Amino acid sequence: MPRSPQDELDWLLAESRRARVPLYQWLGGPVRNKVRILTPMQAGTPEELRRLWPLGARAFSVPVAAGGPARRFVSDTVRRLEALRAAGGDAADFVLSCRAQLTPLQASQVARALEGFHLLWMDEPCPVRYTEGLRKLAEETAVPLGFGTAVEEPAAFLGLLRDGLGAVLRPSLPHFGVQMTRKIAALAESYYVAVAPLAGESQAWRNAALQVAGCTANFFIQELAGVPLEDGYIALEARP
Amino acid sequence: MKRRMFLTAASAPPLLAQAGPAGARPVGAQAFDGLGSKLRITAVKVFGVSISRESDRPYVFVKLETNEGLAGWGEATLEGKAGAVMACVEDFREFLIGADPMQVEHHWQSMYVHSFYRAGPVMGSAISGIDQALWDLRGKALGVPVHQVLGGALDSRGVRGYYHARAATRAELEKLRETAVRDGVSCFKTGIPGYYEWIDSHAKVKRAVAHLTMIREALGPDIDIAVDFHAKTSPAVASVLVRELEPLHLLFIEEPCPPENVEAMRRIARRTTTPIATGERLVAHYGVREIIERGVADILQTDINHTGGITALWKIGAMAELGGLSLAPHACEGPIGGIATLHVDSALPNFLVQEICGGVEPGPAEKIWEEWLGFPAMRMVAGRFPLPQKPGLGFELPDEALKRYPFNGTRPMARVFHSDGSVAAW
Repeated sequence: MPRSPQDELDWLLAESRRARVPLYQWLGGPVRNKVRILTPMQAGTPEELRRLWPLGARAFSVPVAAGGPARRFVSDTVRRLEALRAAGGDAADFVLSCRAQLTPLQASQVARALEGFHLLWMDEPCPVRYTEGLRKLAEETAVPLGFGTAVEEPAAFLGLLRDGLGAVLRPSLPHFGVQMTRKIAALAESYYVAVAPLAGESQAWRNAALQVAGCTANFFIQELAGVPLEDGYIALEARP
Repeated sequence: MKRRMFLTAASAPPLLAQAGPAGARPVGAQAFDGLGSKLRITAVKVFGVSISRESDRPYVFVKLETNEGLAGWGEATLEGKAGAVMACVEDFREFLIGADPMQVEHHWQSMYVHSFYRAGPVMGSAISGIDQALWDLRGKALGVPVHQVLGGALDSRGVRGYYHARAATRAELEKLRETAVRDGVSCFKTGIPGYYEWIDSHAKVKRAVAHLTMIREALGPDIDIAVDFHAKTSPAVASVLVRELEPLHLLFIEEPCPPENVEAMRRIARRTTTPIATGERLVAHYGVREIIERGVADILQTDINHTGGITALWKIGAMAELGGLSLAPHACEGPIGGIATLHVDSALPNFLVQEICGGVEPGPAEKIWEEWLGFPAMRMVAGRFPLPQKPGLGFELPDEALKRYPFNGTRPMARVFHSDGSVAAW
């Protein structure tokens, strides 16, 4: 009988509580003892980075500023990221969050300019419906690409993987639910591709995301704002 | 009795066919009555050999004995799985006792096809050891070295090889270059530092590139450098690295990602002009077909101890030749497989370079090999492995020589982890 992701989560939590184990234990046992966290930035400025650094943040999701003059877009983006790297040093890592706001051409130009910068990945550069443009982008650039924030059908991830479009899949945990997110991760694993699920806003799903991270082999990083971190990580908790 | 005479009496009744219950023969053998030789396999012996207590790769040697006193040796060493391979060789006993060892291809087909499940490293290694021993017998019976039966050596100077660069600092690397120039060694292999996650950080990528740049600078432009990623990088991380390493003009980059996903490796390969090498974990010629036909890699590295012995390695060499690829076979086990590989290498026009997991200075293992075989096995002279010239694989090995190194059980290979405790590839 189909049930909603929320019903599924409630059931999983009830079952794991009854068994007196954390959810990650119920789902297959821990594969790691701490979870790497991606901290979203609002402005993406060095000042913001310096404010977040003492809270333990080491990996940052930087929103792309696509509104400025087109001819300066690439150089502005490179300059912003270089200023952030200068503020954080070699220990700072960045995701360029594009929110599907670029054209495939803009994405190609930015990716080419940033190859030596070592972004963790470039997130959702353009809408996934631009299949051919994205295929060209993925073949041209060595910058890892992340996709999936706007994917609604789980089977669509197979197309992304088959076409080699993503190095990171970003299924929405509240949208797909725990088991389907883990199934998407299992599919990605056979392509040597990582997952960085989206947790959404509610506390229940934010907690669930850390549980899924704890037991999923090809999990890479969890985007979460406002949690205290230790050198970029949050420890996995032992209590149910 | 001359060796060649074993083969001349094909019309005589098979020796063991008349020998009662002890003279069992493999199923299907009677179809070749009157066609084969008089040689019959009378014993299959498996030796587990631990040259140190902690070794994760005790050697597995296979010895086939015959009714005419000839014996053939092969190697079935499978790192971390010695016990399984020894058991698998035992499982093939019924395929071999009473069989005519000259029918190498027939036995290979029977072991592979009649095992139904095909491929797999345990079975591949067991077949490899038996196949090498069959070829050793074949060469000995014919009175020629194995490379002669494979079409003849193409270069009388021997087989070009490489050692592993066991040097970490610039000073050590510069000393290594001096030794290499002195000894005529023209190529080394090294790895990338650390373990890698699915996506990896700026700091780790930067460190890897700096490390390899330092190695190129210290070894200079005239020594070939191969870099083994050892499949510890994902396609995402490998893509970044291969792009940045292009200016170092490496001889090849090995296993930029694990081998199960051919398309993933193809995408990495398309991001660089550096040749890509892969195949040490692949079994049989079936295992490399997709890599060849889709242009995934430039160099194949199938291992004679896992891929199915001389028979399979030669077929892979032939397929690679037709596909425009070269061969640089993996060898990181014992001396028998290494020597067997040299015979195949020498007869392949598309052979590039032969590995041996040794340093430019011989270590304890190489000394033991010399003690067993009576010559410095798998040690290069002027940058090349001398080609064995005696019949068969080209050595004699008394069983007693191995008794000093009894089997100490299977030991697992290295198990390494990331800082969060999750499993890392090495």
